[in-house]
Amino acid sequence: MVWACSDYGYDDPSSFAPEFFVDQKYSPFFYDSYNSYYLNADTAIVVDNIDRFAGPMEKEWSAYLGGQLSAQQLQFLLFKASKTQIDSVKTEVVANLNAQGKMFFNYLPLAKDCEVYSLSKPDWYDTDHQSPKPEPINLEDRLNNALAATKDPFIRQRLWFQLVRYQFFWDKTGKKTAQAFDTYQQEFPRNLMYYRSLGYLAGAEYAQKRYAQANYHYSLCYNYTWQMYLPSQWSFHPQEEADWNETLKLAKNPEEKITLWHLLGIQYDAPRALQEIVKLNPRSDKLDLLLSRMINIHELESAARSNDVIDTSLTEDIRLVDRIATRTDLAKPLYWHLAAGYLHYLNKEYRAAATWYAKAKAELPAADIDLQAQYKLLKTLLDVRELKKLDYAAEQKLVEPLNWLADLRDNKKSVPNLRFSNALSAVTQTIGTLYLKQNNKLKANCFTEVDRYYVDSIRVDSTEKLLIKRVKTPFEKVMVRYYPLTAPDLFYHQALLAIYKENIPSAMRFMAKAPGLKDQVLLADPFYSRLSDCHDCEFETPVNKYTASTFLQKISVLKANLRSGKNQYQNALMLGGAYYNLSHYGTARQFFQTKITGTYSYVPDDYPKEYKGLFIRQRLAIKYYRIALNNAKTAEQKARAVFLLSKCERNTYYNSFIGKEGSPDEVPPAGQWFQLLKNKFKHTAYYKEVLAECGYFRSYINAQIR
Amino acid sequence: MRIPWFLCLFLLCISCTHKEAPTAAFYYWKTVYQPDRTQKELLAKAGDNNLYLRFFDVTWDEQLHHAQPNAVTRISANLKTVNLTPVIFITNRVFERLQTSETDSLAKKCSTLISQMVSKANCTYRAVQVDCDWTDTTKDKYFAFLKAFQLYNKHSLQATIRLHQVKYRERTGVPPVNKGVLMYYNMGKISSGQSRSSIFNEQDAAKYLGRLSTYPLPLDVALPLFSWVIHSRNGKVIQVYTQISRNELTDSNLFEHITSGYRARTNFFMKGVYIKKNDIFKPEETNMEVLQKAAGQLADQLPPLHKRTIIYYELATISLPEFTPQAIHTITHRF
Repeated sequence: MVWACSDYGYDDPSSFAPEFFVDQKYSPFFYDSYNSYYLNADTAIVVDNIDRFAGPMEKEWSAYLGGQLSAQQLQFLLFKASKTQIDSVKTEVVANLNAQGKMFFNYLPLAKDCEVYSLSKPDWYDTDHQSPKPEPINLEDRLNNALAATKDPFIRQRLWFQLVRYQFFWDKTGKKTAQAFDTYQQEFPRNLMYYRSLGYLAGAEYAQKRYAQANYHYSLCYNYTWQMYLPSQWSFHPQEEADWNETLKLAKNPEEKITLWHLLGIQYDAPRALQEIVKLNPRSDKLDLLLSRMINIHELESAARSNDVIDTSLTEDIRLVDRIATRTDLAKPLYWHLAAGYLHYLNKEYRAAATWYAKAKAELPAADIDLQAQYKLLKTLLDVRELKKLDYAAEQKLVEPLNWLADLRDNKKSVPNLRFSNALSAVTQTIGTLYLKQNNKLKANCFTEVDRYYVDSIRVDSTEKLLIKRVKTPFEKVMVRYYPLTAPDLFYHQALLAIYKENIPSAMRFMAKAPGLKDQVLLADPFYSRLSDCHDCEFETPVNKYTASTFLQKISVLKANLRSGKNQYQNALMLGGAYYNLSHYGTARQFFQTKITGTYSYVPDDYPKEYKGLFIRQRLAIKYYRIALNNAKTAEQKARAVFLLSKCERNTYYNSFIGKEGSPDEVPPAGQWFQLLKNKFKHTAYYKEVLAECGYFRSYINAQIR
Repeated sequence: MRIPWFLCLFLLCISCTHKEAPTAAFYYWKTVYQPDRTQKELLAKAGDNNLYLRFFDVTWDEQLHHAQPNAVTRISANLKTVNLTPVIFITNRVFERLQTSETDSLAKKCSTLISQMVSKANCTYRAVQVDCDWTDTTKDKYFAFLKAFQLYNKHSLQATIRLHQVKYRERTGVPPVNKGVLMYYNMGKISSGQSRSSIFNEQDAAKYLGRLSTYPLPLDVALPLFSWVIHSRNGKVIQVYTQISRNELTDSNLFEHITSGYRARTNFFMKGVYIKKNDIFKPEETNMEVLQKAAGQLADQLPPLHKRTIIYYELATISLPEFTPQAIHTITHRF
């Protein structure tokens, strides 16, 4: 049964949303335990290696061309058109273009030739997977000649970029990239084109194992614009502590150093980076991301850790955050105070958590719904965790926060990005456990699943009473909001248990109180005893349709008939069929697999232990098949009852392995009923049917099994 | 000349149990095929130039929701002189996500890509091997893929078989291929706490061997020649490395030697790996003694097979100088 499930989007055991504290431009690096990058609609574009720079490029060209080409034309020419298509467009429009326009068309074919090797995705139909692609003929000369012949700085910078990138892909010596970069770099502004070229220089340096330089250059690219965050961070890989120290020495000012620590912090060691950045600039926004990642990682680890293990890194990190949070020169004191409180909470230091939260509360901006909600969520987690006893006063205090959480769950309130689902289950779990300690199973079971709750009819009755009570107290209303079932679910369950106790009148009374459920139509005829267990065959051709309710009524009639001695063979056979189908091996699983007994059981071991025996046992089927056998008049009738008993016997054999070591033989032993069928009923038509249909019986006849 | 009767009986016996000697082969699992001189020599002398070369992986692209080739091997050495079997590694995730209706087109793409790579390398090949750690939930799609593959590629098809797939064959199924390759390594749980090696240990192996003799596919064998180091933090395994060995861990300024391995004294980078204070490194080493044990244990249980191939993993990361052609020859001939 599912109580408070985490079906609200975010799977990590997180209650702390980086979205409320960290600039959205860092969002690809928000911690996600499953994906390398935290993706949402806003970040999709940054992750696409080919389209990442499309927007800025288009804007730059548009400004350069002064509106001579429309946005649509530009997009087509820059990102879609082939060289031939460019040629034909050029012929049409060239007469109307100014010098810049003409230069654009001269540059384009060269750029397209460069894209053959620079823009490629792995693709099944790419015939040349062994990249790099065949080296383009004369491209290096063409680029150098174009650079020599072009004076326009805008075009020159693009030609330079192409040359650097060309060398990155094709230069085997590793020196020509740096040469191409250095020869021209002085003349260009420090713009996106410049930093993209620098990125390729860094790549070439990395390939030459000049890690210190490479990582320093990647950090400069990272620092330039958010559009370069991803490729730069992805490429940043110090190898040894020595080259990392060398990289730090290359930094020309504190900001550059901060970026280096920030990059180290994202991927490798957030606490170490936080410590260093705070020394350089406690107001740096590069702290924010690292703090959120550190918190989100600790959340995950705390959830996965067993209670008796002490995480020394958490204790150390708390010390660090405490130290920083007490500073008076922070840009976002509220963020640090909440963070400190929450980390203490994760470390079960509730008093310290409360102290930090109190500081945070005083700083909360009244109009900021997100921050208010985040605070409330963390505070609720703490308050519930600190409860020692659930008495009337405590319940009154819980009414408001529990209703708030339930409103979020039920989409009656919405705070986008608030990670409340884990808090919801933590809170209900804690409350449930406390009630259990107080021995109040009724209340406990409203918040968390109480083991074997529904096997006790008095307990079920008391929950029913609560559910149907007309006037409820505010806390009772809360309990019902958290309780996952309805009164009809419970009545249906009681009916079900009564059937297995063969108390059909009681079952019928309960069933009558389960509207909706009592009318569900069974997929197969529940009274039919099929030769082979083929559920799908039965579902395809239901001859007689029954609802849960009419099924019960019919059982009642059959039992009455049996008692009065009327057509005993047929009535017993049908009752045997009913109880066979009411077992795991039969066709009426839909009838007994409910929200309480579990709807996803495909093998006997999946059933909850308190119902497993009920659902797998063959006792009742055997009882009625035996009555049928004893009252059978003809050999055909007897053969049928004997074979049906043999099925129960085989199922009993399978049952004896459930939940135990070892597995049944691939071909189970024959047993008494196969023997009887073989010895006494060879002459019957039913025997021939069995022989045709049942491979086990054939093997038995052919003496392959005992 | 009269031959004594007992000698007749002896001759009869060896003729009836005679099987052709096993052959050795090597995997090569890097993204660039560029063996150095020692590797080439070992391949020729110990493996009769039988090479199982990983061609590419197939992985699932979570963003684009399709299977795609990944880490396609760049072939930078002559393949004409070797007896080549291309190997493709498909992650189980692919079959978790792929629709059954897409298995056919995946098979076709894989076959085409192999043909392209082979034709570009201007070489021939003998069989194709597919490596996938499939489970009972993915078996239907994986097997459909294997069947489809055989429609597009007429070479003999092999699949790797892990020990759990031998033991629980009813659940995981037997792949529809011409031959299986039993992976006789990576058998224990990768963990820093356990003293036994997760590459090979007799106890874990023994649990799976009971039903080996009745496995319904002819089986070649893959044996480990690699060692690795397990990196864990707070009791959780983070990664295993073949680029780090015991040598690097013995620097007492950086690591403290403890019973279960080596504990880092501080935070630092080493060989591209970031290490944090208190991280634990546990070396697991495969040497001749381990290999002898593995071969002995397995040879006893395998049903006889003519010309069984023993494939060693893998040529580019052989850990110890003691794996000479002669040593490998000795192991091979235990089968």
